[in-house]
Amino acid sequence: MSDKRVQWFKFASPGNFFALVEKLLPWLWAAAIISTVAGLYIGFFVAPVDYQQGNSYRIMFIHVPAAWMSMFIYFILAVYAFITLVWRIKMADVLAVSLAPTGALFTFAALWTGALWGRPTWGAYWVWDARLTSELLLLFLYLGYMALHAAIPDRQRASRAASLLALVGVVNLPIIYFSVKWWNTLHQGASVSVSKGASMDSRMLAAMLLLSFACWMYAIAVSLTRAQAETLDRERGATWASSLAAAQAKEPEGDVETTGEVPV
Amino acid sequence: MWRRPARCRSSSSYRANRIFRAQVSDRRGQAEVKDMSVMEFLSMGGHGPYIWGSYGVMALLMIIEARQVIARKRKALALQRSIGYGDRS
Repeated sequence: MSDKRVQWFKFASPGNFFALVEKLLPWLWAAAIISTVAGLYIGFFVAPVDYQQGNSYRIMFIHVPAAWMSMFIYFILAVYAFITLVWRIKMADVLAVSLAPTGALFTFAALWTGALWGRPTWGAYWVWDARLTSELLLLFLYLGYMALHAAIPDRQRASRAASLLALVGVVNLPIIYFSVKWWNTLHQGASVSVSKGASMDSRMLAAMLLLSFACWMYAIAVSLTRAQAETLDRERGATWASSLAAAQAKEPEGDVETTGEVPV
Repeated sequence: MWRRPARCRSSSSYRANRIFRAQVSDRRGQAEVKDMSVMEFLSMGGHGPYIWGSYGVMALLMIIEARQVIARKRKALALQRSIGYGDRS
């Protein structure tokens, strides 16, 4: 019984991590592309026009997933930062560093799409509303984390300092989420709630959930690919990396194909 | 599956202009299916620049990021291949 159990800790080893990610990536990209196509089709050809906002509401199909991802990714980044600080596991820092640019991208996308949705709906691209301002602060936290990590030459000190910053920044997440309840904001409340369900047409909800799933798959695929590159950069010359490169040299040009475990 | 209406099947201009069929709704929220030209679809009832500006920038950012990380991984692998077996274990 215990022999069949997956030993998750072995994936904390860079070589095993690389091999596992290599197997996952094609599935992640396929899921991201298929759900994107399905979500866009439903969003533009099946979901009806909103009787109040007209077609501009269709920005919601990417604005809401981008905003969700910006917060989820920061939360996961903070968990890895905590693991880095407490247990000093190398792969936790690699994953945190790999998540940050993708999180920053989604935060920028949430702000950008929100501005373009705000103009026809509110009459302004930007207002110093609590939700918008706290989301902008999240973008600065991502940029600060990346800048701090890159600015300190000693990698261990860099990861500790940046992890501390990431943990301090977690306080911003409940502020973003509850800002529409705590303050009288121009930004609307949540359209999808765990307790109340969704307050929108089922076709609109389907498009939004499909594109949210696509964003998840994309974020995981891109972050893991970046983590692979980061691992290779940090472990250059290690036995597992050399074996992997030797196996690669025998194959024609293209993506990496590894089978099973590699020496660690 | 969508089929061109019978009255337009012989018109070649129809093929160029009437290719979309989309759900629209009236003010009571009742959905109906309506044929739509390419220009009508792109204008999105006057909200086209906002919608396509949002989707376009997000798609562009995601494509650039994906290409960048794949190129970085290939570069890291190529560098590792170029140095061969190192002395770390």
